[in-house]
Amino acid sequence: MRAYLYRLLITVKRRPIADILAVVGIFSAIITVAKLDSITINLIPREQETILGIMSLMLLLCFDYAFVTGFRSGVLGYHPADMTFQFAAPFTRVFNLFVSFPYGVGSLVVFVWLLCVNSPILKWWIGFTTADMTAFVIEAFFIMSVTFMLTSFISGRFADKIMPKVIAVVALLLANAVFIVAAIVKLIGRFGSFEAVREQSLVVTLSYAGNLLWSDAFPVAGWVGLIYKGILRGTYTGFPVVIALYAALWVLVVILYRRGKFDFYETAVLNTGRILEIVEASKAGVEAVNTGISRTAVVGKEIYKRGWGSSAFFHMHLFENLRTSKLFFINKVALIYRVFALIVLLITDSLMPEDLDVLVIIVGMTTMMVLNAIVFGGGKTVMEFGRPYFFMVPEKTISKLAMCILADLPEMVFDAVVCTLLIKLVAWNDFTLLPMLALVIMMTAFDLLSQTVGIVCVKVLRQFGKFPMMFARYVLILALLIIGMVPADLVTNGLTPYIADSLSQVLAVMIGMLAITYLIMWGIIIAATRRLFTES
Amino acid sequence: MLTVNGVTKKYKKFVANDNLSFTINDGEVGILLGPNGAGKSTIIKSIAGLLKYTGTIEIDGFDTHSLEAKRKLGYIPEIPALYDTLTVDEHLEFIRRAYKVEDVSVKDRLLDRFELTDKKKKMGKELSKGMQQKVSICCALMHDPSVVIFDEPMVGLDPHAIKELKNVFQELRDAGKTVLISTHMIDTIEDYWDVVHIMMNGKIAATKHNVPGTSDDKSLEELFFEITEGKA
Repeated sequence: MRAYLYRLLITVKRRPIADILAVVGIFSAIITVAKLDSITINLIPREQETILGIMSLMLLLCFDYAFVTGFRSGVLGYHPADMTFQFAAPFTRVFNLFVSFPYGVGSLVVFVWLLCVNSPILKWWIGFTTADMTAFVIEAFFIMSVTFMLTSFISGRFADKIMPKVIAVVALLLANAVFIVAAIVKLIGRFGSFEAVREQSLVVTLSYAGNLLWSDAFPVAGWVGLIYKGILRGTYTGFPVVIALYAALWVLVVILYRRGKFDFYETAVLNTGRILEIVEASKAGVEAVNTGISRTAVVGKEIYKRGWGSSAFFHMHLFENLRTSKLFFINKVALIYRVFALIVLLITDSLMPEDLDVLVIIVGMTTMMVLNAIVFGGGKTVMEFGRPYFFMVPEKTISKLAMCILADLPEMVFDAVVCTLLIKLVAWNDFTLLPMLALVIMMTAFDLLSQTVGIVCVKVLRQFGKFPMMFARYVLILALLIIGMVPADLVTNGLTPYIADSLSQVLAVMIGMLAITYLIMWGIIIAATRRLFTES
Repeated sequence: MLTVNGVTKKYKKFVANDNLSFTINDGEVGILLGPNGAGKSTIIKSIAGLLKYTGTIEIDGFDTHSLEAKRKLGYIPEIPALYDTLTVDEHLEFIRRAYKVEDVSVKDRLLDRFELTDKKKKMGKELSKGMQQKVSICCALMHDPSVVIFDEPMVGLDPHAIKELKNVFQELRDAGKTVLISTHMIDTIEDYWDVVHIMMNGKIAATKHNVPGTSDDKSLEELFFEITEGKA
């Protein structure tokens, strides 16, 4: 134990920038939550039941996230050195399972941190107070800790078996599905019809769903959530049952960990072996970015037979993508961010008057672009820098670089179409075909720009570490987003009186101008930075 | 011909290569011999045009960063870096297309030569390290380069592959190609080298030519240990 802590301490000491960022992050969350009450703007007057309902849904999310995160334990999150200093050393398997926990726990902390630093939105929206948010964090801690321990047990105990994990995930999906269906049925019952439910504001439907018995009965999250509900409502009768249920869960955890036979070493060694290869490759100067652990590819009847010179890179990347998945153009991370964007869109829509759909479109578009600054941050092109071929093939750097980036185009176009359809869903009347087409092109152009800036940042800033590099990339892309809006705005203002006579035409001109501006910026960046990519 | 003239490479304050100069002529096998950390891989990567440096490196008279030099150069990295989901055959096809090699048959000849024909449907991630190294060598030889550089090529190869690789070195030399190999395994190079540069702390500490019919007073091994350990 002391040896492990010593190793941990040395690691912390050697990463001063990461430590400073962590401290700044923690303080920013604490200060944000502590200062919530000093914010005076409140769009919807605070109502106790609204707060409790929405908090219940947030706790449900925490439960789901902790549940899924626990599956990383025991199979991922080990350093290659752990094979020697932990697995082969005289430590119990349970202790070595705990060694992988920082990976998942860190992810949970970041999740709660994100909610905390964004809590002013909850304050502005429905009047969340410092006490509400503090209660939420405490309850989230209780929910996430026990849930994480339970699924970590499944992961460590059945590392090489798929079925127990499938059963657990199906159970999770089922619990969520039952809750969602029950909430919809109850909402229809309450308001009379589905149409009537749709006409209600988001706050009403969410808070109603969060205060249903089905929400309170939701495993772990619902039970723990009853404590703050009881405190605010002044009903303490259910407390002993909740405390007994929660204590029983921890007793179960202790029994499982004491009696369980853990057999995760082989799976962990296999996964870590891959990471070790990447570390070794990095030492040799061929830094690989892709861990490739989750990727599945099978050789079929497909034949690679296209491309000549630089275009061989384009066709090879497309070929590799197709082999990995026929649906390779669906970026799962982007889809998760789209869910978040949809929530922002719905909230904006619920706050705006009916005749201001154009503002919803602009807010939606900007949110999608801001999130894409995170999603499209390099792609597969970055992986080329880990191999000699990109640098060795006797073709102009600019054409090789462009060909590699363009291979990500199907992914970008699909994402642009999804973004456009989501905005259409919320702003149905004003968002007609012309601005929709313009948005698909504009989002694709912006994704190309983000991807290229991401690649440049990897090339120039990777020596400073992952977080400074990501931070710089994000700031740069946001700056380009804003800079691009200036000429687009000027041209749109100049042209609109002559070429546009309806709102949808004005929108199309504005979005189209943005598309052209971002494409020009993309070309300039590719041309200006090409010399960076002549050496690895 | 490979010419390295006054090349210095620094990583911040650490000098990995300190004013290196040497030449390997056509039809010669040159060896960079030295302990770990001597700077062998750094100069190899600089020759491959992968690193920034001061000084000049020329491949058949062309600057190593130029497209002409890249057309004439084949590079086998220390750690094979293949594409996870491309098969052996597809790797060679990709390189053939990227280098614009018209002759399709060269692919099969290389696969046959390195006994990879039965593995040609295997993906990069399914291959052992030795197999990956063989694919890496095939990729480097695909476009018939006039200068070939190998970075620790024997590591991970089985005895048969090592024997085959030594034959490749001999064939390349007989075909008038320039070959440069970096290694720290003295016993693997005894029989085919023309010139050895022993590296130590980023510098060339000694150069020894293999002239047939002459007998030096010191063997390569004795010279190496004299330099690296300060004793024979």
